[in-house]
Parts: sequence; C-alpha cells; structure tokens
Amino acid sequence: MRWGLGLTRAAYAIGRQELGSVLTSPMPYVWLSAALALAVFVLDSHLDTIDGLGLGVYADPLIYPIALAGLILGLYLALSASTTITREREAGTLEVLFWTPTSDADLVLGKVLANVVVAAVLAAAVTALLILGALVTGVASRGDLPLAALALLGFLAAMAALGLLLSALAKRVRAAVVILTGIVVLFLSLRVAATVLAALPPEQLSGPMLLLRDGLLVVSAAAGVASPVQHFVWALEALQAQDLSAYLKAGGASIFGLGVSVGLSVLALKLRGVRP
Amino acid sequence: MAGGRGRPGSRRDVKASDAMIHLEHVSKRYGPVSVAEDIHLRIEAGEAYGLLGPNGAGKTTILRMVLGIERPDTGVVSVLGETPRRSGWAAKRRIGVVGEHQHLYEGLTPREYLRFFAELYGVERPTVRVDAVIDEYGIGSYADRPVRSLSHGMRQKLILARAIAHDPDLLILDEPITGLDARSVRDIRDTLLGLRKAGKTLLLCSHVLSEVERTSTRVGILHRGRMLAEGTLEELTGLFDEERELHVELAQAVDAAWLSAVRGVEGVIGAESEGRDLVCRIRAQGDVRPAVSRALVGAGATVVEMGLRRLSLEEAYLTLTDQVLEGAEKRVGR
Repeated sequence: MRWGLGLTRAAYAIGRQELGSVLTSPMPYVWLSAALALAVFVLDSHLDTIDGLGLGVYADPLIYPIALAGLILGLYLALSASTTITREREAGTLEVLFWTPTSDADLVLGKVLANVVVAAVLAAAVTALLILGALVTGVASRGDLPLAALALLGFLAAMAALGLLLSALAKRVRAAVVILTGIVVLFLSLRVAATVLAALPPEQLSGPMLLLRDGLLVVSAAAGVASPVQHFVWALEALQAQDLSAYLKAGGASIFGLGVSVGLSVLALKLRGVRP
Repeated sequence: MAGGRGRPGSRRDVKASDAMIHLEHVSKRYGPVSVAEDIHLRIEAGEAYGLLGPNGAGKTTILRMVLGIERPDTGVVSVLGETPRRSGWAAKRRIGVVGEHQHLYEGLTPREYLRFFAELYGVERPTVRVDAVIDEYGIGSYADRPVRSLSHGMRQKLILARAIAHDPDLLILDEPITGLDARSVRDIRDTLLGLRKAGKTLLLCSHVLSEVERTSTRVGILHRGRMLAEGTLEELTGLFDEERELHVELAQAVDAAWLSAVRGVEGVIGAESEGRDLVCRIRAQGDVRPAVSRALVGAGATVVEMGLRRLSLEEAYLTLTDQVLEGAEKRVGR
C-alpha cells in the first residue's frame, strides 16, 4: 500500500519505530548539548572580540557557530545511522522484518525518514539557540540564518544517509563504526596534507614533492565533490558571499548525495542480506 | 506414504499452484556442508505438517528457503503458488512466522510491538486488531510493560500473537516450545490445535517428538539435510513394526495354561505375563486378536481389555536415524 511521497505504510511504520528508538535514547541530547555548547562558545568569542576591540566585523557572525555545531551533529548522525541496520542484523530483528512483506526500499526509506526528522529537530534546536543568542546579545545577523539552517538540515540528512549506506554494507556494528571513522580520518588527512602542501612555496618543493602535492590536491578535490561536509561548506561560503546561485548548487549537490546514498543503501542491503 | 527422496536429475513439472508449500529437488550447501539434499516436500492447504529432526538437521534452512530469506542452490521452492522472495513479497501477508530465537525489540511494549508488525503486514485498523489479539491471547496483564521485563513464556506468547495477528493462512513455526514451562507449552499447543481446527496450514519444525506427534497430521523426518521418511503418523510408526505387541488385561492373574494356549495361536511369536497383564509379541501381518481371544476364553480366562501397541514416533525416528548412522559406518568400513 502506497502512502504520500511514494512511501509505503511499512516505510512509515519502520520510520516511526526508528524515530522512537532514537529519540528515547540519551545520545542525541548529549551530542546536541555538545554542539550547542560549541556554538555558544564561538558566539561568546565573537562578543569577546567586540568587547576587546570595540568593533567586530563578520560577513555573518552566526555562520561559524552553525558550521561548527553542524559538524558535531553531522558526525553524530552518521555514527548513529551507521549502526541502525547493522544493529538489527546482529540482533536478528532484521530477518524478522523480512518475514513480513517489507521490501529493502521500505526499510531504507523508513530509516532515512526517521533520520531526516531527527536532523530537522537538531537543526531547529541549533537555529533556535542562535536566534535566542542574537536577540539576547544584540549580535546582528544579515538574515542568512533561515538559509543556513536549511543548509544544515541538508548536511545532517546527507550525513545520516551516508551512515545508513555503511550500515547496509557492514555485517557488524563495530565494522560500520570502524569504516566510518576511517573515512573521516582519511578525508581529514587528505584535506590537511593538501592544505599544508599547497601553502608551501613551489621553490621549496622538489620534483616528487610537487607531484605529490598536485596528486593530493586532485584527490582532495575529488573527495570533496562527493563529501557532504564539502557541500555544507560550499553552501555556507555561498551565503557569506551572498551568492544564491552557488548556494542552490551546493544544496542540489547535498540532495543528490543523499539520493545516491539511499539508492546505494537499497542495493547494498539486497546484496548483503539479513544475516550478520 | 510419500517417498522422501526426489529423483536426482528428473525434470518433472512442478505443479505447485494448489499446494501451500512445494519443494522439488531442493538442495543447499554452506561451503562444504550440505544442509539440504534433494528435498521433496509438498504441504496442502489445511494440513499440519511436522518437520522432525535433531538440531543441525536442516529444518531452519528449509524454513528460510520457504520464506525467501535463503535461495536453494538447486531445485524449486514454491509457496502459495509463487517463488518466495526476501524483499517486498506481498504473499507474506498470508504467512505468519514464529522463529527459533526470540528476536524482539526490547524497548517496545507488547502493544507497540504488535501494532508495529500489524502495520508491516498491512492490517486494516491495526489498533483495533491489536487490542483484540491482546485480549484473545491473554497478553493484557503485561501489554504495556517493556518487552525486556517479560519472562521467556510471555515473550513466546507475544511472538505467537505477532505471527497470528494478521490472520495468516499459513503458519510456520520453528521450535516454538523450546525452553518453555509446562503451562506455556500447553497454551501454545492449544493455540496450534485451535488453528488447525480453523483450517489453517501449519508447518511445525521441532526436535521435540511428542510435540510433533500431538500437533501434526503428517510428519517428515529430516536428518543431516536429507528427508529420511515422510508420511502420516500411522504410516511412519508402521514402517518398522514387523512385530507388534498385543496387550491383554485379564480378570484374574495369568495362569500357565493360558500362556501356553496363547503361545499356540498362529501368528503369536511369544507371550509374557505379569499379574493380570499378558503381553504377546505378534507378527504385524493379519489380525490375531480374535484367535487369541478365543484361545484364552477356551482355556477359562476372562478377557477385560485387549489392545495393540505400535511403535511410537520416537521409536520410528530413532530406528530410522540409527539405520542412517549404521549405513554411514558401513560406508567408512567400521
């Protein structure tokens, strides 16, 4: 039976069950508290600068807090989603779900739906806090906050979908977490190495080092294109540059990434099956 | 009795549309281990079929193939006239399953759990149906407690309720009474007998012979992935009784003259007595009861009751599996 948005009743049921399971666990609140604390810290440091200098000029003072809170919450959602199918696979409940007429797509869509709702709640909480902070402290925003919040939502949903893909692929929870950690570390290492090498003057680099730098820049750029983090950064940069077209492109990339992750998750579940 | 073995390599058409479950020449291996070997199985609507075998015999693998969770390496599986699929197979609305292990969502209450599965099965007005099932299966007293706080018996009752809540035509049960106390076993057995009476088709896998004997109309004996025999209880227990036992209860203690009178009856191999009870070993062919009765009455005895005892399912099962083990030992030259 198909309901709205092309989702089946089974997908809605799975989504609701997953949502209940996430929202009744302490983890989202712990991570949200950490993200909000970081956002408040950054906002406070802006105020300290203003106090010290008497003036602070920012394209939008709320963009950095939202970016840092977003990275923390994105990591949480990816981690949380990366265990959702593997946990059921390990516990044996995944096989029980497939004793019913549920399809692979129902399962993945249900889980994505739940994570998008969690992402919306988290994004709303961060945005609400920043609005409150702006009102209380008098820090002026250029009015980009709704678009930044939307970019945050897209980023969080894309990170959750990426986690879900790993969850569909991995046999065990531990394997999923290790793979996700590996991807994050690899991505960060690439970025740091490429940034360091790019900052060095070409005359300090020998032939092989030049080759390594160019190679790393290409790989880093390619990884960036597929990375939800990069799409989020692009969106925020576009907001700071007041470039709506670039913002929409970044948003489109984020949504496209989410769709690819969902499609690959269905395929991975089909291939991997229900047994650990 | 239907033969348990399929003909390897034969290309018979599978006429499965009228069978609830039909397996034809089905084989499955996990690496070097054969878990199902040329299995042939046909279960008609309304039958209660017991698949009997020890742990590791291949029962669960067959169930997983029936549900589309596993695919056979060779052969054809047909359930409700269709080839089972793991994902999105609509015919699963007509199938209820009780698995070997209690895989539950520990944080949900039974009411939430039943509602969740009612929705997955596409039950109309799931809340109303779940309330009815909770009443019907006596789950009300713990319907709103978390599953993690329930006893093994309560959990098993919940799993059975989940399997039945969408009113399936076919119910598949894998070791449904393992680890349960006597009261829970009785409750579940009563439920299964009720379903059988209601015309539901049951496929019960168990290593508990007495349970299969009580709930099934037809039994398959599975051992090391092979179907050793299949038939009704009568057919299976009649497989090995070249000799049977005739139990006779007399009004008085058995006299030596009565014993010799009975031993003289054609078809009686031997006779022993204890108090008023007389046990005769007789040949399976022919009915010697009238002749034994006449011999005893002629010798002055008064017969109170007389009854034939055939092999139990357990004895038939053990005899069959012993034969397989002996055959294997012979093959390795022991």
